Amino acid sequence: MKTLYRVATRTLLVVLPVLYVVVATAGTGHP
Amino acid sequence: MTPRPNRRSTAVRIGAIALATLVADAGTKVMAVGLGSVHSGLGFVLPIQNPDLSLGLAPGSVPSMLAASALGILIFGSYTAWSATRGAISSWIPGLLVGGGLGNLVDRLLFGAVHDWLDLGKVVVNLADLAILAGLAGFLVSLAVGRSRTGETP
Repeated sequence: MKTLYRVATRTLLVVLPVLYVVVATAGTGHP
Repeated sequence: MTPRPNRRSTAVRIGAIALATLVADAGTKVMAVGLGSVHSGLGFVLPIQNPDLSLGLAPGSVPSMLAASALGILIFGSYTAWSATRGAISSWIPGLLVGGGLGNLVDRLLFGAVHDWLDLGKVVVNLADLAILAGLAGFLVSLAVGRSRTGETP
């Protein structure tokens, strides 16, 4: 259970920042 | 071991950095639009309105993008702010993440699109994007350093 919790926490710590960058930034490909 | 920072002063620092980022982002967007409307000769200023999320990775309606951005700021901003009050990360990290996120959110709310202006060659971004990326880099470095020191996540 503790291992599962750790894996879930670490996965979230990587997924959350990536998701945040997608929803919070804009950025346009050069026209 | 560094002493645990005062929660209130950390929260004030985060708020001040977020506000400064928001104001700087809005100011540079206004200046870029002004510079773009006259021939300035500044090759790196290219004002563009971007209605999509990051590089068009997740297109959607304006209300859904506003909701996603607001939720992201609320969840990830709260988590990083909480980490900062625990002393696990520096207060500039949530400050830049929240300030940058709010900068683009306000733009979407007011204009239905984000003003990008800084031409980096392959992409055109704005100060809010750079603040978010700097905050993210700081967060990931803190995560890696915290793990290597204690074997635990921050």
